Amino acid sequence: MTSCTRDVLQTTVREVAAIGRDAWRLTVALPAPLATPLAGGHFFMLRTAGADFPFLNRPFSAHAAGPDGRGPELVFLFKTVGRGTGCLARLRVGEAVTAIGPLGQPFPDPRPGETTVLVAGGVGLPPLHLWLERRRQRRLGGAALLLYGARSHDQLLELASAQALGVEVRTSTDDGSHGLHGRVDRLLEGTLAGIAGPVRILTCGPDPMMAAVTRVAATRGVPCLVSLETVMACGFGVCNACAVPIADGDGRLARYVRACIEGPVMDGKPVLWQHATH
Amino acid sequence: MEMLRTEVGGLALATPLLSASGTFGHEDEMAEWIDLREPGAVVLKTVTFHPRRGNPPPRIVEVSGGILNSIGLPNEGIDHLIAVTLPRMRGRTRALVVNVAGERVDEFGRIGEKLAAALRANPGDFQAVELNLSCPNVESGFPFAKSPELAARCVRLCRDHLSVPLLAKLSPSVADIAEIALACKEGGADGLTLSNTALGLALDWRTGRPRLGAGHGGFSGPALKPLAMYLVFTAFRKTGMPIVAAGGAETAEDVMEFLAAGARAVQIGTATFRSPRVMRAIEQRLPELLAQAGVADVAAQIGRAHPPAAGAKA
Ligand SMILES: Cc1cc2nc3c(=O)[nH]c(=O)nc-3n(C[C@H](O)[C@H](O)[C@H](O)COP(=O)(O)OP(=O)(O)OC[C@H]3O[C@@H](n4cnc5c(N)ncnc54)[C@H](O)[C@@H]3O)c2cc1C
Ligand SMILES: Cc1cc2nc3c(=O)[nH]c(=O)nc-3n(C[C@H](O)[C@H](O)[C@H](O)COP(=O)(O)O)c2cc1C
Ligand code: FES
Repeated sequence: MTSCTRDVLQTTVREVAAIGRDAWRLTVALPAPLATPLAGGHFFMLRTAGADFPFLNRPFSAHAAGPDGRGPELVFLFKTVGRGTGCLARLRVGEAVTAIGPLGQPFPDPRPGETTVLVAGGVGLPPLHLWLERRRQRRLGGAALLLYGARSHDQLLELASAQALGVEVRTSTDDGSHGLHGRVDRLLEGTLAGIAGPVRILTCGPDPMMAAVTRVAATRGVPCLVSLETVMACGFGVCNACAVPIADGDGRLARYVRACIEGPVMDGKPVLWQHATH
Repeated sequence: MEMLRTEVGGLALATPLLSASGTFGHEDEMAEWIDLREPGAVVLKTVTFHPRRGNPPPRIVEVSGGILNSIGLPNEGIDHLIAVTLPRMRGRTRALVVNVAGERVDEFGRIGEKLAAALRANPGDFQAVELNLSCPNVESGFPFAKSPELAARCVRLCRDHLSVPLLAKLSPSVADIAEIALACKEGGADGLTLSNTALGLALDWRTGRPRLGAGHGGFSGPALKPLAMYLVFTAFRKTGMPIVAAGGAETAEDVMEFLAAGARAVQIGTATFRSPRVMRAIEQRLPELLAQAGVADVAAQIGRAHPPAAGAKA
């Protein structure tokens, strides 16, 4: 049977659905199943096939990847923030989308005896959603719960889908329209206080939110992996656009690493968030 | 394929397609996507004497017709290239071109010395050296490629140590490309790479701040092609030096156009970001385009835009 390895894949749009204000769910069909199952944090560089505009491909984390993580359909969630995402939102069923991937280092699977606390901010849900999907499909051990924060309830994208993945979901909104009234790092503080035994945090969302989550984790001495959304040009390690500033022991800039091949999932602790502007 | 063979300044190439420095990784990153023996030569990312961290992000922004970058030459330095990269690349390319830059004039000589020693220890580890003269000179803050005297000195210092083909890669952001090119020839360059990125700027109109972390940057991509075409055409006519083109090439048609202007080979840069196998697609189409143009081979396409007497038709 033929299958797709990491490749330049020609996919076909199955659905583009509006799922909230400026938010979309894109479902594409793969030409063949993926050779290796996806894990949460794997991403693809997407573009409308053959289009000259926008110029570069855009990175998106896989949100769902079929019953065994290999397709035949891939789901992405995205917000329209500019030209590239605007083009994706205007795609029609049957159009071709080039997807380069799967790319990057994903989140690790859960460890037995450890509680994984997933912290999603807004459109940062996809890698954590896929992690939960994989955990359920493979019946991986270990307790897990999802903390999901957004500005307002209508930006808690695909909440029902997240709630169907077999773990408790706690929400927070900045305006108090759903769940805890406040930011998700406060929700995290409260949650961590109630968990006994080893914990690991996996998070994805806007940089300031991941910075806050990393601080909470560090205060409590809990390991915290983040999935970074830096600006990328290639996605496969050859351009050096996706530089993530890494601190030395004294909190000073030591070096940059490439988010696309050394990440996007990496230890959040040494990331110098104030330098990671994009 | 015999018809695709070419040669530039003593560097024999099985195809006229080269990767452009800084768009193909530091070492073998592209091996996941293509056979590293597909390009006529692989040109590595610029290596400086000392390691460099590179510039603060954002390092690339998209603009009309291409991208602006201020990557800032992050690299592990010349000793790492020799100790780690060259052994890792050994035997994996059809030809390997090392791209180097000094941050001070004297470093071009020190780099040349180290490369010469590396070749004595392992002959055949690389087939040519490309000097990135667009690197800013920390002594003056001024790129070497803007001054004929400085450019000539950098080339000379390296040349004194090296006998492999030496290509001088120039900046397009200069008043008279031929003057710089001839200075490089004086310094001992065997050929030119035309060109590096063009100086550019993009601002966030809301804040008035640059969109790139380092301020201004270098422009590359399709909109650079007419500019690079003009440089190739002019330098061919005025200097007759062997030329490798670089600037916005994405298709086999673009490559044919650069060859006609006088380039003996063409680098593919930014296009790789959009499509990691773009070079393969170009190579597959070249024979058909040669036939359409009514020429037997790449050699016959080179310099077709010029009258028979012009340029170096070696
Ligand atoms: C590994 C990875 C996974 C990602 N997964 C998702 C995902 O699942 N869903 C999703 O909606 N987005 C995701 N992103 C972010 C997404 O790639 C950007 O939103 C997109 O590239 C913007 O393209 P654009 O052309 O619409 O915006 P542009 O026109 O390029 O920019 C418009 C505005 O958005 C800002 N912007 C550009 N790129 C980013 C970025 N990477 N992060 C934040 N702001 C940015 C710009 O600064 C500018 O202000 C991911 C990024 C990475 C690196
Ligand atoms: C992201 C990026 C990094 C680059 N890094 C280097 C470099 O390290 N050394 C160098 O000589 N040229 C570098 N260049 C310039 C390219 O090699 C090439 O000369 C230029 O981009 C024009 O070709 P293109 O339009 O095909 O990309 C870089 C270009 C880009 C886009
Ligand atoms: S996006 Fe090009 S190196 Fe990471």
